[in-house]
Parts: sequence; C-alpha cells; structure tokens
Amino acid sequence: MKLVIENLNAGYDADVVLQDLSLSVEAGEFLSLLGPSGCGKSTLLKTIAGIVPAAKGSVFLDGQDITHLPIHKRGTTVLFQDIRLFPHRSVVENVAFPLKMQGVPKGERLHRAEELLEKVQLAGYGNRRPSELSGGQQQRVALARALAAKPKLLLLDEPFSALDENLREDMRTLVLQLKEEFHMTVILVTHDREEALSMSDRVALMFEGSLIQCSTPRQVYSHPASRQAADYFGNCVYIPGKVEGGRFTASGICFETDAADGSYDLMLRPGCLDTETEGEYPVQVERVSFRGSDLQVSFRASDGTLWKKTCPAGADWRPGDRMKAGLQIGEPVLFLRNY
Amino acid sequence: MKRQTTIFLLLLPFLAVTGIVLVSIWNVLVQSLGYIPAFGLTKPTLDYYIQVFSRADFLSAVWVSVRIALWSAVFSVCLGVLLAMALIKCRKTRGGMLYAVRLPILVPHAVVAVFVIQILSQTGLAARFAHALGFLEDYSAFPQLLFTPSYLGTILAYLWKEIPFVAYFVLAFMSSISDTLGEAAENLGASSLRSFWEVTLPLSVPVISRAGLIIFIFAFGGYELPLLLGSTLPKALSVQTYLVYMSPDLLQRPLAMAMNGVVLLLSAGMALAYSMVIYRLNRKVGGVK
Amino acid sequence: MKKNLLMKAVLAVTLFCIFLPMGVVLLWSITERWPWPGLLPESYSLRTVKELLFGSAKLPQLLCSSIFLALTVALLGTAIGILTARATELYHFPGKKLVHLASFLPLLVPGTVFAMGIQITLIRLGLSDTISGVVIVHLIAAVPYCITIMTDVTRAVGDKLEQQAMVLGADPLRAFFQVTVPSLLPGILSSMSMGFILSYSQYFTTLMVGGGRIKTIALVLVPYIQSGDRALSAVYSVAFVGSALAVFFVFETVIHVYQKRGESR
Repeated sequence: MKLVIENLNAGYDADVVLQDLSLSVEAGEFLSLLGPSGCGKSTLLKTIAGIVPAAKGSVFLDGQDITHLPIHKRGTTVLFQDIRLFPHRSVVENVAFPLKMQGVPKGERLHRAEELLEKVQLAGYGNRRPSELSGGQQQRVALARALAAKPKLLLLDEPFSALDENLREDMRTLVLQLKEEFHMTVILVTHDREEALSMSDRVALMFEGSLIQCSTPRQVYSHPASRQAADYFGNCVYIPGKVEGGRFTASGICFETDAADGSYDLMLRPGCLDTETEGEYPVQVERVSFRGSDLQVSFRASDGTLWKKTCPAGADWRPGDRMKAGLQIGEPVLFLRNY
Repeated sequence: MKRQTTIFLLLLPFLAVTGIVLVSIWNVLVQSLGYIPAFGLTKPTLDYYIQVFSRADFLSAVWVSVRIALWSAVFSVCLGVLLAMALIKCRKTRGGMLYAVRLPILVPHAVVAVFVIQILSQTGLAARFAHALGFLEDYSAFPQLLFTPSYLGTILAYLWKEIPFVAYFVLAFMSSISDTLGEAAENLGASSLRSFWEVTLPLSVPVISRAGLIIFIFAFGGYELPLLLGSTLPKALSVQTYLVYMSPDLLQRPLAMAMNGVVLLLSAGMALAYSMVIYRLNRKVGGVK
Repeated sequence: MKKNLLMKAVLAVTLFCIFLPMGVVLLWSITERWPWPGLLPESYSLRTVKELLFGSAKLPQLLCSSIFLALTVALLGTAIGILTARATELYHFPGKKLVHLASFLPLLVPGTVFAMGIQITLIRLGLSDTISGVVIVHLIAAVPYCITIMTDVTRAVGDKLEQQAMVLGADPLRAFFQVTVPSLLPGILSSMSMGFILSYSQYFTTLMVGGGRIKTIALVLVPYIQSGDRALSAVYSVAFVGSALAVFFVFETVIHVYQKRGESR
C-alpha cells in the first residue's frame, strides 16, 4: 500500500514539531525513520496513525486521503515501544481484539488469534495473562495483535529498544520474516543506526522536524547529504582542502571534481584508511584498545586528523608506531566550508 | 535495630491517629451494648439493638440515609466519570477548566445548602425563571423539591459537590489509561466510544469504585445536608441519632450508640463489598496496576 | 468530531452548574430587596456586608480564628502524611499493607459516628470543649487524604536525590530538608489544601467536640440557613467560600512560583 505525505505540518498544541514534510513510501517497502531523540520521527509516525492531528498538509494511503480520518478507520497499526497489551484480557483475547472490533464472531476470531500466536512462536500461551509473560514475549503478542488488525501500513515505534540485545535480534528477524509473509508496508522509527541500516530498503534521516535525506542505507551512509547527516553516523574524518579549477587538493591528496571553487572539507570514513598497503599518508598510532573480538586503533595523521579504525584482534599495533598508509577515497564527498 | 526504630518513629503519629479512630469505634460498640459505668449501666446486653430495630422512626431513618447515599453515589459516579471523560476528550486535563471543576470540592456542604435553597426552593431562581417563561402563575405551583421526605434537595446538593469530586478523583488515572491503552485500542480499530467501553472503563473500575465507596459512606453518615435540606419526618439516620444522643434522658445514650453501631456495620459491609470487587479484579488482571 | 461536540456540551453544562449558584449567592449578598417573581434584585445595598464586617458580629475575627484552626490541622495532617508516606514508600517492613489499609479507616467511619464515639474519651482526657480536641477530630478527617497525596509524591520523588546528598556529605536531616522537601513541595501544598478545606468545612465534629464554645464560620452559618435568612446566609457563604479561595490562591501561587523557578534553573 503506497503512502504519500505532502507538506505535512503537525505538533502538540502550539508547539509545531513537523514542518512542511513530504515523503512517499512504496507498497511493500520497509522504510526506517532515523534521527536523534526529539527530531519528530515519533510525531510523524503518530500523525500518520492519526493520533497527533495534522495542522496542515495531507496524508494519502493507497490514493485515499486519510488526513482527517479518525484513528480507528485508517488501517495504520502502531506497534508501540511500551507494548500496551490490555492487562484485563488474556493473551489470545488481546490478539483477537482487532477482530472483535471488526465484528468477527467469537469462535472464528479466537481461532485466528491462535494461528497468529503460532506465527510469533507463542502457540499455547493464549490463556495466560500478559503480566505472566516476559518482555520479549509481550512484544511478540503485541506484534501478533497488530497483524490481526490486517494493517495496510504497519508502524513500528522503536519496538525493539526496550528488549535485551539477544531478544532484539530475534525480534528483528521475526518482523522481517512476517513482513515478507504478509506482504506488508512497514515504517520503523528508530534512533539505532545499525538497526535502520540493516533492516530497511530505504532510510529517511530526520533532524529538527525535517527530512534531511531519504535514500538506500548504502547511499545514506556513504553519501550523506549534509555534514549533520554525516556526523549522525559518527566516526567521520574531515580533511580540509581547496577546490581550484576542478581539482581538490589537500596535503597528500589530489583528485578531479566538478565542485565549484572554494574551501571544502573532504569527508572520509575510517574504512578509507588503508593500513595494509604502503601509501602517501603518514600516520602514527596513538591508542590501542582491545574490545574482545577486535581492536580499535586510533591513528593520528600528520595533518592532525584522528582516525578510529577497527582492526583484527591479532594485529600487532603499539602506541607510537609510525607508517605511511594509503587512502581509498572512492567517490569523494565534499562539504563546502562556511566558517 | 536502628532501622526499625526509624520506621516506628515515622509511623508513630499515624498509629496515634488510627488509635483514636479505633478507640472511638470501641466506645460506640461498648456503649451500644449498654456498658456505661458512669450512668450506672454495667451489664452488657443486646437489648438496645433489639429496641432500635423495633422503632419505626429508626427504620425509616435507615431507609432515608441508605437512599440518600445510594442515589448520591450512583449518580455522582456515573456523571463524574462522564465529566472526566469529557475533560480527557477535550484535552482539558490541566489548567483553567480543571480549577473550575475543583471549585465545588472546596465549597463547604453548608454553603451548598444555601445554593440549593436559593435556586430550587419554591421562590428560588428556577421558579422565577419558570414564572418569567409563563410556565407557572404563582410560586406555590412550583414543585416542592426541598424539605420533602424524598430528600431530593439533599441528594442534589451532594451531587453538586461529588460529581466534580469523582471527576477529579479518577481523572489522572483514567487519562493515563486513555492515553496509552485507549489509544492502542483505537489504533487497533476500536472507535473512541468502543475503546472507552472496552478498555479505559474496565481498567478504571478500582479507582471509580473507590470514589463511589467514599461518597456512599460520607453521604450515609452526613449531617448538615439532610438537616438543612431534608424533611422533619422521617429524619436522616445521623440527625435522628444525634437527637437521641442529646436526649436529656441519659438512658437513651446506649440507644443512640446502637444506632451508630448499625451505621458502622453497614459501612463495614460496603467496604467489604468494595474490597471483594477489587480482589476479584486484581486476580483477573493478574496483579498489574 | 460529533462526539467531541457532545463532550464540549458536557463541559459547558458543568461550568454553568458550577458558576450559576455562586453568582446567585454573590448577588444575594449585596441585595436589599429581591421579591418574587423578579429575576434580579429590586434594590442593592452593602448594609449587611458592612454590618457583618464592622458590627458586633465580628466576622473578621471569626474568619481569622477559623483559618488559623484549619491551617493548624493542614500542617499537622501534612506532617503525618509525610512521615507515614516515608515509612511505607522508602522502607520495607511486615504489616506495610495493613498500614495502607488502616490509612483509609477514617474514611470508612462516618464523621457523626466517630464524633459521638470519641466524645467520652475526650471528656475523660479534659479535651472536650477545647481547641486541641477540635484539632484532633478535624485531623482524623484530613489525614487519609494527606497520606494518599504524600504517598503519591513520595513514591515519585523517592530517596535517590537524598542519598546523593548524603554521599556528598550532608547529614540525613539536612539531606531531607535541603533536597527532599523542595521536591515534595507541590505535594505538600496540595496536601495542605486538602487538609485545610476538610477542617474548614467541618460542622458536626466541631459542634460535638467544641461544645458550642469553639466557634468556626461553619458553625455560625448553619443557624442562619435554618432560620431562612437568605441575605445573611449569602453574606456568610460568600465570606466562607471567599476566604477559603484566598487561602488556596496563596497555596497555588507558591506552587506556581516554585515550579517556574524550577523550570528557569
């Protein structure tokens, strides 16, 4: 089901959180809304679901304008971070709740609820109370309950962040698997970069109520649209330089570019530093930290930049070691310096 | 040891307060059994309870008070919950509107009696409006609402004060349920009304019934409003009891206490019924608040 | 949207029902003549108000002593609330549930029954017909509410900050007053409001235990209502509610100023 958002403004009372936001999500797509806390990504999700009213702009689902439709008629189901199972109903009754709202007869809805519980590997738990389940189990019941609503669009509001690391991974796999099985369109709100990059078809990066970039995970990571977007993924290295007549030059670096003349910073990720082969870029080891499965080695370049690179645990680096490393620039990303 | 001393010291004033209440209950029960050495009564007996139940004025007083308490509690709970829901749905759970709703809680019962008299008596504002609109010729044609054996005035006065009390008492809890689980229910396809009925209301039963219990017991034993707005006969239980208590014939004292004993018993019965409801609910919900 | 309209109507009716009687009483308090079937008074005068304020009725003194009594009850009730809440929320001990249940006990015993029951004990202790006796019986009515309110805030505030203060070198008493009391302040003030109003509006218990010698505004108002004097009972009602609101206004202002200060920090 295709979702189109046009010039959306929304917020709580006078406090406008979203400004002129436009976005479209293709049918069957998995899109992540990624951004720091307070950037408006949850508000966007709630506006799509109708929980937060839109002040301006429109939301279309499958060509139908749903901007002013009440919450329960939208067909957009949210999986909330705080789970929100109904404590006065058993697990199977919780899952059957959306079916009850649709007027499905009791026997049939309980049967279908049991089937959905099987899908989330909770067969046989139907008669328990939600409070008798663990956090991970509760979240899976909530997922089954959301599926029972047969959503045109499944909205995930940081549903994994309250879970343990191990459970989180299982839950992600389960969600992806069920998404395929039910051919759903999914939007995931998260502040976990790895989660967004690893799960989605596309990542929409949000800052301060606006979309900064919306693209494939690879593109968002390697070609950030702005310095802010680049910094959000962390570990960036900026090498100051100049563009003159179609050539970027910095100490030891020089390449052709079609950027206009001016002062630029070349953005590189630690992966660009090639310490395996001899190159032109002099670096010195400043710090080595052992992290179990690997080492994090901090290299200080002669131009003052600091590179934090992950190396195999067996590598023999010592603080003070000097070498000339190579730089794999690939497609360079330049940011105009305006300070 | 030191920790236990701290806990004991912290609880000491509370224990004193509880002690006073228990002493009062003890006095009522002991005196109602006819044990008041100061009056020369030293032989415990159930005679006074038997006497009390054979008195027509007592039985009708019990009936009056139960009716006042029941109607006040039922209507304030229903309308108070409706008011709370209106506050939640209109997003007025704080600020000016809430101050207005809190106002009746601050108004003393005696003043509420003044309000009721000035508006609903035969020469009150309501009658004047009815006259101005041509519904009645003279004030004697306006229905007698106050000072009647129906105790309608008393009940209305309680409602004026207790509907906002219920709304205020349940508001925080209901609004937190409505904002989380109620929202989830709507998101899963329940209409606003359905989500209230299926989720918010059943989960709020404990706090709502607690408000109802408080009002029932308060209205059951209340004194000023039935005194000021009720009929001379039959009297409300509290008014009747005080009359007997103040009787110059000191031998009437155990009789008054037996009446009080009956009030205590009924209150305890209500409290028991309430705790049974809560116990069953808790078991059903599995101990989650 | 249609449903919201209904809900708005509920709020409008509520506001009307709350404010109409207050307006009428206000009007009656400055009325000289308001004969049937006029919708508004025929003539106004401040005579009754003046007489009560400056005449032999000594309304100002009556208000002051009633407020003083109610504030005493509010302060004591809140203190009991703070201590009890501290015990039940910050410590574990057997019988905690019992304390919780017992804190509702005064709500389960109607005030009339309690007052008649405790009277004989108060006489024996020489507390009948005294201010202390009245304070004690009012306190019983106020304490359940004070404990409930203080329990809620104490649970929310906890003792983390207090422990932090002690780790930084404050002795327990200073840690409590410097760190915990300011965090509890909004709760303390709402508990005091509740205690105040419960004492301020007591009628039967004051009548019973005060024996007519302890006069509060509630005690003075009731006979006027019984005698059917609308103007006088209106003026007393306005004074009664007005003075209570004034005290509340002070409490609310303190909370407001305090929270503003907290935000700007």
